[in-house]
Amino acid sequence: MQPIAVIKLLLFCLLIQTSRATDSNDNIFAKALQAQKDSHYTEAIYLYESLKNKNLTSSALHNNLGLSYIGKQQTGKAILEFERALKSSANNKDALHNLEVAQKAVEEQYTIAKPLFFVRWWNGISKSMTSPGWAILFLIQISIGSAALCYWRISKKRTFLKAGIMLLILSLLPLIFGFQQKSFESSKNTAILIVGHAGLRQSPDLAEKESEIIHEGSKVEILKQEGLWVHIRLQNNLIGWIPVKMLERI
Amino acid sequence: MKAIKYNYTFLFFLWWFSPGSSIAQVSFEAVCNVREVFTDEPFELTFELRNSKIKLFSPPPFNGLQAKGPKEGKSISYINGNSATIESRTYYLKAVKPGRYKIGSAKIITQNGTTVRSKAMVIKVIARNNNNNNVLDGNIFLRTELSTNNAVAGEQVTVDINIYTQVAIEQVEISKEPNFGNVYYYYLRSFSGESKTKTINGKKYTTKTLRRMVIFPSSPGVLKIDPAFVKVGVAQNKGGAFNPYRIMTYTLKSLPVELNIKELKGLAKNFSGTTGNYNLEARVKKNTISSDNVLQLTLTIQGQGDIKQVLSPKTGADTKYFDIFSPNITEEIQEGSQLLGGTKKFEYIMNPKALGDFIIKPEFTFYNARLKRFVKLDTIINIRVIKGENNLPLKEKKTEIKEFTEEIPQAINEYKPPQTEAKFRQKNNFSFMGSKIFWALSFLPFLFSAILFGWKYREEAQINNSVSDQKKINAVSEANKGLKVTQNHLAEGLHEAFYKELSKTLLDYISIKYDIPTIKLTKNNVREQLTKQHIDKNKIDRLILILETCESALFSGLTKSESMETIFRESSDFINSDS
Repeated sequence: MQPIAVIKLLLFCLLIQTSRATDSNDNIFAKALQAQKDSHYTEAIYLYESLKNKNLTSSALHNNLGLSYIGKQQTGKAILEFERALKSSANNKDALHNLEVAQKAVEEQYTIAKPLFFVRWWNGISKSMTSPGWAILFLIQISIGSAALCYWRISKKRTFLKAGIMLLILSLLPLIFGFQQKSFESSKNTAILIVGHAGLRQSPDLAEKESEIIHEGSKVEILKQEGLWVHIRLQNNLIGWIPVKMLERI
Repeated sequence: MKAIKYNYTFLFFLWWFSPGSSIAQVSFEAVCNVREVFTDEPFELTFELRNSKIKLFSPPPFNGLQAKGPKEGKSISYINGNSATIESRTYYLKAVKPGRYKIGSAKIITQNGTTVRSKAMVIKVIARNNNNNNVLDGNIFLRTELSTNNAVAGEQVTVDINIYTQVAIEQVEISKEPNFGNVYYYYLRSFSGESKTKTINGKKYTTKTLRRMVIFPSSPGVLKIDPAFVKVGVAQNKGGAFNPYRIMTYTLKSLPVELNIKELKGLAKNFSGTTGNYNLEARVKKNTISSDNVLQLTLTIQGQGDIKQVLSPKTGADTKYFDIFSPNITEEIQEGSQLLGGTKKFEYIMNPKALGDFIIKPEFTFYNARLKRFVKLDTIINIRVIKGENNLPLKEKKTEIKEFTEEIPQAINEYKPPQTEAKFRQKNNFSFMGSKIFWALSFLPFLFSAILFGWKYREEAQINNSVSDQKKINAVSEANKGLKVTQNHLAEGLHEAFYKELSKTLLDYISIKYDIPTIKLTKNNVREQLTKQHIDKNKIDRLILILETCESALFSGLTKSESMETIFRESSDFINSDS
């Protein structure tokens, strides 16, 4: 057999294998969706979780799983999944809406000071694309910029020199946004309280009095972990310790 | 009105000068229980912040001392009726070599953002005299003793620091407790050990438990428990004439111990996740409720173990007949029977969905490490739901309705429907942004540009060179043309025109042939440039002479035809000899 024929055969096998795997995942997703539509939330959660256990991720998967948890009245886990959906794709408007609705159900909501308008804009732009998206935009921009400079060198047309320099300078923006988004995507410092409620203590000691009660679905920032305890900051900037098993990282 | 104003002023001054009104002073200091220690003798150093909260703590440089910690603490003190909050960070320190050790300043940023520093201090470490402990040999020793050396995950294990002695002890002070790493531990404050007599290797010892701690190891494996250190004061006949008995202080160290932790195998159904020994109490506010009322069920778990680990027990109510809401949980940790335990209450609210008689069977399963088995506790409660204002179906009718679907919470309508399409991707820690591939791809456009710029530069340089070469080749023919015009001027006897044209022809020729800009065509420059280009010195001299002759002829009006012919010939020779 010719070597090219062998390569073609191998590529064909690989293609078939990949499509089979995708089919299988799609089937599970379709079954979970059907179970969810039929209000069989336990089954839907089981199927969605089985996809997660395959080390797969998808914004829609997390969103639907969150909705299934809502069906089971597990607001904490639902909020966690909606947050994960948004982390996977910040443009998932359904997940954003669902998160806002679910957050209304949190027993105690903290009033958080809104950042200044330009900070909100900046963050909004940064979250409008995933970090690989920003990386590709950066590469395209510097490629076009460099090509423009090359063309200027050949043609001596100053318009291309200006365009090239402008594009190269502007390419810093996708680079900055990309790194900011990457830091957001890889951050494991935020978590959601997934149990009914937990007492916030000033030291990692059960003998310590609870200074604050945190309710299911509350979003917290993890400052550090010491064994079975985590030091957290609430959205109202209150700091304290709670057992790690009461939280799940986003 | 004026009287009221005076009254307010008086009250203000009264408040201002009252002792309680003074604004609590924030202070931060380092407290050390010793100034002199023996080598290998652990001691405590505590940093205390009063009347504020620690936002950030930067430990001091310990400069050669071995440090473990910090252990965080919080307390409230009352002095002369004034209270103060104290937040502390405690380190256990030890020096291996004798000497003077300076402990630097620790820094704290308080909750208000103020930075405060503690004072530095010096600790003197003295070499231990090996004979010092001879008096202790075999007479006093310390042991860390566990209630068991083989435990299962989550089991409560007691850790006792026991002292064994055959001599009278005047003072005892625990200078360092064992370290349990990440394992949750609790110091039993209510425990007070009694003195007992024990015989070890035929010797009778008086023994006492100095401290009892309980630990709840959660991960399987071997837990190594560090030694404990205790200072004891023993009266000895080494004093002076007036006080023959002197208390000598010794440090005792227990041996490290190991605890084997096994994982629980074969988890039981509805396992609550806790190990210990518990009781279950189930109580309803009313056994008979009307359809417009709710059923209030309280499940109380009480016993010994890590009560925090107890998860909500099963209510045993059929969700077909009751809506069950998340319980309200309260817990209390208690010490009792020289162990740690507590009470956890789960208060459930259940909404009836049918009329009739029902049985609720709450259930709680835990692992009893002493019995080495899972224990299931359950009880039965009879409930009757009678007709009230709400119209509910009878239990029998409700049973007939086959409920294949789970109850849909009303709030779900507010949510967006599930998304029907999903693009799956493998979760991995690889991030394209900032990766090596990303930087390599970012570098490529610049590399290509640099290559193109370089190529273009070389190409242009080549073109320039070829133009320059061509010009040099053409220089002789151009110069000969000039010579022809000069010859005509010579024949016609136009002296001035002859010298002008000759001078111009020569200078143009030199400029093109030897790359000398026209502006720099002075005699000195010409000599210098031609010398640099390694042109024969005689030839240069000849050229300069011709140029000088032309110059002086133009200024002085030289008209000798012979001289002109000679110059013309020499110029022609100069130009044509180069070609």
